[in-house]
Amino acid sequence: MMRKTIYILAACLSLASCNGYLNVKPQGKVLPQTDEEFASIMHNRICDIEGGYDEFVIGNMDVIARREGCADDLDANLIIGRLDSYAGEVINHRQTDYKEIFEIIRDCNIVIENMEGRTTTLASDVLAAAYAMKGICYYNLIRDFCEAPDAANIEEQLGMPLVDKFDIMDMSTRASLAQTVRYAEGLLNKSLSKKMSDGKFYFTEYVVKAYLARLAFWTEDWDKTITLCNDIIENSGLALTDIAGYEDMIQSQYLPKGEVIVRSHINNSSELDWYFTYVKGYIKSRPASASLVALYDKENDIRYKVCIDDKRMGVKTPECRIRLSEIVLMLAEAYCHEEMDEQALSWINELRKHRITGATDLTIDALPAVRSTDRIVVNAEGEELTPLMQAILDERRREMFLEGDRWFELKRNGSPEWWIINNGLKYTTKKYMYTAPIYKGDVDLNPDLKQNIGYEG
Amino acid sequence: MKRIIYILSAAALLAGCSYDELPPKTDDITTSYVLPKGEEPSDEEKAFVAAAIAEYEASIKK
Repeated sequence: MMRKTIYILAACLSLASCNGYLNVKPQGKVLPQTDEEFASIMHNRICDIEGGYDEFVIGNMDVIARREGCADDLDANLIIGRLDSYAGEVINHRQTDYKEIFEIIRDCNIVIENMEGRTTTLASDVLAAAYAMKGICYYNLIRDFCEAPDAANIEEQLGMPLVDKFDIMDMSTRASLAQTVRYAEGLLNKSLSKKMSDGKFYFTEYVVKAYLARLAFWTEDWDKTITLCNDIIENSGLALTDIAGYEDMIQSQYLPKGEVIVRSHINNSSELDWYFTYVKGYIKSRPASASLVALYDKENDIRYKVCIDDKRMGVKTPECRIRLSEIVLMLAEAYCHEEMDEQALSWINELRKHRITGATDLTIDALPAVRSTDRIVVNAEGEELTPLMQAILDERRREMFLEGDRWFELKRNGSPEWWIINNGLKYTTKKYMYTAPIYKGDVDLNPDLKQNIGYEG
Repeated sequence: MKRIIYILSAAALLAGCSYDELPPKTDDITTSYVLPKGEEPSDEEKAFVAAAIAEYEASIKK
């Protein structure tokens, strides 16, 4: 009996063991070592951008379809079509964007932590790409997950966690919006300081400067916007595409043509073109709103002829890109905010000459009065629109149609509330919905990570 | 012999690793937010939409 007991106990002892081999943190065992191995991390992400798979750095057709579905250039009250009906419907999709963006930031951090200090040209280029990609990710987080900046309160507004290291146990809390903006700007400037020598790393000098300009513009730093935009216009070597070249540039399937500074989906390496054919169909399933169509000179504006068909459906190739015309529009608006009206209007006239056959120059005195029926009634600083500011916003709406811009135009210019009717019920885009919810899993895990207003329950 | 049994019993009880490979628990098991509900539109709002649709249909017949 005694011996039997000993055998049983001995068996128990031999079967008991440690399950530490399941440890989920084997970082030291899997990290790359050589410059080439770190470069492959960035190449993997850049490959996603080039193939049109990436939704979180430059963006892709899916992103445009979602943003246009939530905005009002396409009118869901006419036909819902196959797009999301309004912003409230995509709350859960938007929260997962937060998680996905931080996965890209994680990859950038692995590269930055391990390559900073290396002296090879490859290391410098890979670092430049990592800083740029991380900076752009933070810019995208600021636009999507933070409230529209209020210059007077930007030090108090909530920003994003500033994650500097690869650490899966990290429990960072949210910095202020001002700190986050400075952080993103610092990352983009670090990228510039590396003077990338190889274009295959994508984020070349004027691509990074275009994102710096976008960041300054979004955060209402008009002086910086003016400096950066003038630099890009004067030194990038690009010129506004004229009327004859517009269609070729805007409908180009893979090539960044004409005034395009950067675009995603420059090849089919993601093999998703079969899917994008459907996405184009989804976008074409909802007509353009009457308020947008009324802004065009239908006979003479090349943008209307190329981008909107006779059923009022959008047929512009929906690719995420930054074009020189966006830089011109940002410059004009920044001049307007700085009360340099003549310079502002001269850039609007310059763009109109490249889009409207026989365009005559607008003059300050002859600008149309501010419309009382428009959705946007205040500018980015919360002031009533002037005829000049309305003209600039109208030009931007015409130019940036189907490029995922209108959603952010609504957000930064007063975040107006509006509604659509779907299946007999009214759904309202509330002010809080312009700001996406932080990923619920992170908020549940870290009680100190503040959720955005409207989603706390 | 009893002593061996005691030692083996204690060893069997104390053996094993306390490492928990499961991720930390969150407040609840849901991963989604409840979507906002629709409301009944007013007659005025229904009329606004009907007028917009009429304008659209007229504009594409031209």
